[in-house]
Amino acid sequence: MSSESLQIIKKKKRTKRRILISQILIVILFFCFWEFLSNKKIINPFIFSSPSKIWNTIFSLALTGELWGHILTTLYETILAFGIGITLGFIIAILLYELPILAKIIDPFLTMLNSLPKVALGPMILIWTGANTKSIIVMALLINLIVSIMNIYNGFLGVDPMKLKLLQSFKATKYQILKYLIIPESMRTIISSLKINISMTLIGVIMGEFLVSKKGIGYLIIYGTQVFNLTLVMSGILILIILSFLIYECVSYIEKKLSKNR
Amino acid sequence: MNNLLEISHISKNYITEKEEIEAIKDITLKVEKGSILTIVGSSGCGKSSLLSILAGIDQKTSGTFTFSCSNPVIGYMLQSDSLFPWLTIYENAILGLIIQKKDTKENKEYVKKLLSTYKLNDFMDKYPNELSGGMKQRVALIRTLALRPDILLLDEPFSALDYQSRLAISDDVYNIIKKEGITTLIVSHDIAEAISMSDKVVVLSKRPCKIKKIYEIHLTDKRTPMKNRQAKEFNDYYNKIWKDLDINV
Repeated sequence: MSSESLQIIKKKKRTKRRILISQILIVILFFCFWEFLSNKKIINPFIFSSPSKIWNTIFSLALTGELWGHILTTLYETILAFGIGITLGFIIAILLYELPILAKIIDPFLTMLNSLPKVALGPMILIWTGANTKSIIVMALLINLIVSIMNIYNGFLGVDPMKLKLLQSFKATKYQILKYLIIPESMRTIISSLKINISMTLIGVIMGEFLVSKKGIGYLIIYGTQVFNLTLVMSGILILIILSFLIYECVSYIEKKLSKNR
Repeated sequence: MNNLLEISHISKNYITEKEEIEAIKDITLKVEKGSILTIVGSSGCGKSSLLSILAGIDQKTSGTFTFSCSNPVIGYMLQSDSLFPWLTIYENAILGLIIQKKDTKENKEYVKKLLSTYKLNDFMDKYPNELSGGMKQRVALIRTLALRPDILLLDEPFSALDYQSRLAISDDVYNIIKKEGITTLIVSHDIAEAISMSDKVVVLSKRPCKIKKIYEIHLTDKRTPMKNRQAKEFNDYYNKIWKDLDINV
């Protein structure tokens, strides 16, 4: 490699490092500034809390073991709702694709459901399914399922008509068309819908936990509000930020792995 | 004369919510066994629909077509190569066999033989995006030939390629078709390609397309399509067909 290209690579690496350093600096400065304002009573420490108090709260929660229970509960609910959502979404999308009349009939209802703020259904779900994990899962499914169906179904519709014609000229059956063309060709859309789905699921789970739960990060936040312990609320939010970031990164990793094989 | 396919009085109308569009009107045609016949017509006329009807994908409105052999195997090749990017070249080539459940050892060997005959054996385990446009077209042809068709239907087979590859691949395809001795029906809008490849050129009128004229192509010293373009009769045919097509720009 020429020295010029080495120089360019070096420059690119330097820019990358600079970006990372700036990002870390922003986080550190943000927390320092917050701590400072709270310490000097420039902002009300009871309402706005402070990073050190939040740290202590998280630390003691972790020590008693309570923290892991909350995280695991939220994680379990999210993964369960995510799995059910993707599976059901896939099956329903296939049904809609194979039965275009059905798709046309339910199209306006899907749109209606999609635009409805699902949280409005929360109290009703609570009464129907009872105050337990079930209603949290249902809440999350309400939010992620319709998006999944629409994404996967649109992926199916986007299949190259020429390839479809080719298989028809081979006299392929509907099942063969699905197996050899529709599903593999729309794999990319399906995989990228995973990312949207996981964010949606997390929203649904936290909303569900706000409404009913006895455990989970959503519960931690809502409990903190009820006892007016804002440090606890903010600890919950901070944990949630980290958790959702990690989950998102996991799905991105899976997406990358899956699309690499293609 | 030994005709493999006889088309008589085929018409095709498309019905939309607003109107009925006549795409094909009363086409009667005989395709001789082992010959190459090209149908030319301006773009937008229903010439592709005719192939779809023969391939059994589309329904005709009226008329009949009959093959001289019973249960003819029809090989249909479309404008784009339509290779599946997630399958290797070999897997693409045997796709038709798999779908028709004819993927016997013998047939698979036949595909491998075709791939190596047409200089693709080094690419069997590669994916389509690693191949040039002309190579992909060859794979698409082999995928069709794998079924051992009695008749080949080619729908603007080279239109997705650039001019140079087009010339080269039409030579390739011509040689393959002639070597395997397969009756072929081509639909094209390229007059030069039609004259250089076929034994017979059928000129269609604008929509609704009817047969305007049929030319038997007799070139002195008939060789490959590329060399045929140098035959002294070539220009004569070209000018006649150009006039028939009545292209107004």
